[in-house]
Amino acid sequence: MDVLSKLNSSYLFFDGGMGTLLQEKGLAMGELPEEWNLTHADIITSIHRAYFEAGANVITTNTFGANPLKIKNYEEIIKSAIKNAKNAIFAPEQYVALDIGPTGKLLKPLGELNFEDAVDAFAQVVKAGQDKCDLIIIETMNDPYELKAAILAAKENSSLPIFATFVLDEKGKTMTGCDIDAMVAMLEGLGVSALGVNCSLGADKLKAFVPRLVERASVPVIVNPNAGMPCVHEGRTCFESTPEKFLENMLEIANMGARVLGGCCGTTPTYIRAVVDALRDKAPKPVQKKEITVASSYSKACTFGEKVVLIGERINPTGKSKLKQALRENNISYLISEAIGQEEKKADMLDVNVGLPEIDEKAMLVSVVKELQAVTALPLQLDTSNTHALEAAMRIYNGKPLVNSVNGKAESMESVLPLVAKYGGVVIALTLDEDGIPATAKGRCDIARRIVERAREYGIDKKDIIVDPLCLTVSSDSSAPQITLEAMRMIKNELGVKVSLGISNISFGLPNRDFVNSTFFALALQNGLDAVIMNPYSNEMMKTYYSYNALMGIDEVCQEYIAFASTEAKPSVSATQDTDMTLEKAIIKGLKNEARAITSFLISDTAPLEIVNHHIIPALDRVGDDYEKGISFLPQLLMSAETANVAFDVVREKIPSSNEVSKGGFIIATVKGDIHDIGKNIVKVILQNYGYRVYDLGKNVGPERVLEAVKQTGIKLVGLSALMTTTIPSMEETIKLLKSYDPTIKIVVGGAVLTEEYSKMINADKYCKDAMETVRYTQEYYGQA
Amino acid sequence: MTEIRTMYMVNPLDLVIQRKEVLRYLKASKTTPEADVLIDECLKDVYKIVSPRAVYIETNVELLNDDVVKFDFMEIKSHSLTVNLKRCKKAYIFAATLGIELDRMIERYSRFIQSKATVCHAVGSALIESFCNYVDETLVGRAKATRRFSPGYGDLSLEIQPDILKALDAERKIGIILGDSLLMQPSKSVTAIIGIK
Repeated sequence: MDVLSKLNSSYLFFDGGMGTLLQEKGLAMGELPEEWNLTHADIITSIHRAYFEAGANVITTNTFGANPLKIKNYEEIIKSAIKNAKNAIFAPEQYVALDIGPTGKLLKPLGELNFEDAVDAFAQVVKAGQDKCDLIIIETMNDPYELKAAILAAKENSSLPIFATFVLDEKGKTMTGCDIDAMVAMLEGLGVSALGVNCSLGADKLKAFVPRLVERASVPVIVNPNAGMPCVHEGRTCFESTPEKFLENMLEIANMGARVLGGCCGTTPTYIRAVVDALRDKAPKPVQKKEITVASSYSKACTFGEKVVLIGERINPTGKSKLKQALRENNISYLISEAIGQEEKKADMLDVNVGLPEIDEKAMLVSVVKELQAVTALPLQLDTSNTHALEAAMRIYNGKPLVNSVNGKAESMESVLPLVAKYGGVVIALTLDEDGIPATAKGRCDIARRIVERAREYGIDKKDIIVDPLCLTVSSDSSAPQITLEAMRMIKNELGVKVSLGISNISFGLPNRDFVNSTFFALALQNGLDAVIMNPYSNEMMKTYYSYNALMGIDEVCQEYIAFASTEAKPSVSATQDTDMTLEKAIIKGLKNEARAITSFLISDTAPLEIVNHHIIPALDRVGDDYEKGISFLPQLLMSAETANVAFDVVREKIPSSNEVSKGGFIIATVKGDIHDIGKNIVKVILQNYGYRVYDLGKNVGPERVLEAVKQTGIKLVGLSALMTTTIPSMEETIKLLKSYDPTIKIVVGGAVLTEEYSKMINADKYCKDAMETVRYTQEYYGQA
Repeated sequence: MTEIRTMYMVNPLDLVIQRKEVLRYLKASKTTPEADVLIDECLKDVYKIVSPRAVYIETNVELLNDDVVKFDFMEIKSHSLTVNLKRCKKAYIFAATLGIELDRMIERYSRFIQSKATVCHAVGSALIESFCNYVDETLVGRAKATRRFSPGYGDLSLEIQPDILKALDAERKIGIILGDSLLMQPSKSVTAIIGIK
């Protein structure tokens, strides 16, 4: 019987801790337990055997840290670890799990490791070990992104069943802040055979989270707790638990519905034996398939079917000239501000569409998704008709995305559904096919049914399909809205799937479209709408949303409605009422709302350039001077800079973009090895404020990348930042490379560890102690001082 | 065998920070009412998101010749550390962190509101310092102890960081990861040695 059949028919018992037992046998502190596979093979085998003797069905190889990023001879270690494990088998139904732990590196954007490099590292481990094992267990994971990398590596290099466990803290989240719902959504999307938790907490504390796991998961749940929290008793590490107490808690955990049971740090064969003896002959609770439709981000889940899910539509170039321009100029910060804005307006998810004929959509979608998932915890809807772009984005997405979209055309289903099956996701299914959009509700329902059935053949459950019955323009066909609503009801009733709509099409060609949109939204809600793609800035839509929720008892005691309506009712305090307030003052004090109001007021009768030259720049100069004189400080400087930006934004609306003049360019980067970039970011903000175009290469940037940027932009002014003494050599190397390419390139350096003296030693042109000094140097460089 | 012990999830509200500490990290000697509002917001944000955790071990200390300090699990050559641990028979070695979610928040703010990113960074620095004081006081109690000493102080090389973190099992226990240039992640993390006299 293979391990999955065994799991189907009964409990599956895992082994317990290895480290504690090795320490008892003499493993020194700081010594790698994995090395013992080579040096003490007999001990490793005897521990494995002790677990089998205790009744465990599955033992995990002693390969937790054996990956190319941690251990050089990982391959040799993995091979011997598997041999040691295999040697412990003495009866049928004893399985060996290839154990995979974290890489020990943090993934980007917070760390240095590229997602694909993580996939590669895990792939090496899988390749080294999978052919002789019965399953793969990926365990003790904190970061869902790293876990995803490991699962992809396992799927792409082996056909073994994959079990995955992550670590929870006492708040019920991973150390990276991911909650249970989000983790389960992503793991199931990726198709693991069993999922659950291990390590960190004892069974007593971990059991609090088991009900939620069982409630959300459609696959067997694994619980491998620690013996307890380590404590010290008479000079020896003990765990605040005895096998008896452990058993007591594990019985409860089994009763809650966990099906795979074992132990982690501090547990021994005695612990496992107690659990096996008590449960061996008992039947576990059946695993219930859940009908939960859910998308997720790196930290949270968005569940459909509770409250209508608002999907913000603003990141889509269709009909948005500013967004088009931002995409052409690779101005990702504009997209970020759209994301943050929609989040503040209470969007639950964000649609991301970056398709423009003149740009490389695949590269753009990937970089935008990476940026967005660094700033927002809202799950994303990947919106593209380019299959390559879709696959690339789904791959690097940190969670379970919404995919927009598949339709009834054979070609669409054949290209999109396999991706959903591989990477996981919820897919929007449009009810159109080769013959277009059916005119009847039944016709649309038929297409939806076809998509659901086809998806099932790919192993995609209908809970992962949301049907969009499409709304057509009411101004050209007055029955169109009724047909859409009827199709919605029919699809929900007959197919039992969730439905969504992109609302705004309904009002195409009409004046004041929001009026029609919001009323149609209310009708659709009443007919069972589960998600809507809409503009969160639309007040009319939000009014409908909050009112509907209050009226239908979804917003209990009308709390959200009250919060929304009371900010709505307040007349916006016009800063211009304060007669003393000027734009200069607002900027100097860092008052954004006031700056926006005054600029909007000024722009009606003042030339844009005059506002810039006579109001904004003088205020900035004043703040800059005060900062240099030590009268004002960094927080004020930055607040003023941001306030000036708000004023600039208002002015910019009035200037055609082509007329905007940049005072010059500046390339900036934090050097390779350094991932702290707060100082670099400050310099960037202030330089931008002074009208310079800043090419920010980011952090941990290699010398070649800097040179490449110089070549691409033709700019010969480069700022480099380093925080650690250990990264100064990397700065020196960058300078050397740039100077050898072109000795006229000017290089400004700064950062916590740098000094005037250091900067001379490494051949920089200028050391700047802060942002203002960098501005002054830049002005000098461009002859504007 | 030396034991690793965990100080798990200290309540951030037990950690007090002085406003002037935050200002010190911002290199600001005074503020404006508007900046005060910003600082208050950031204090609230940071306190909400941090998860202070620490691990520590207690070890015997032996001072050998040539500035070599011998702990139970490793030897370190450092003159400054030797001076610091003079007359100490025991020492605590700990690693403390505020958690990676703070980094994520700062990263997030740095993309669209740099002032908040900067101030949260400063608040984080003040808070990890306060957390270290907390760990310090909890461990030392009434005993007579040396001033906290960290890799990077004096001639105590950052190069020992990997061994210290490994000995503390800090990656698994509290999520401290070492970058290629010996930078700790989460960024608000500290390792330190306290000698007990």
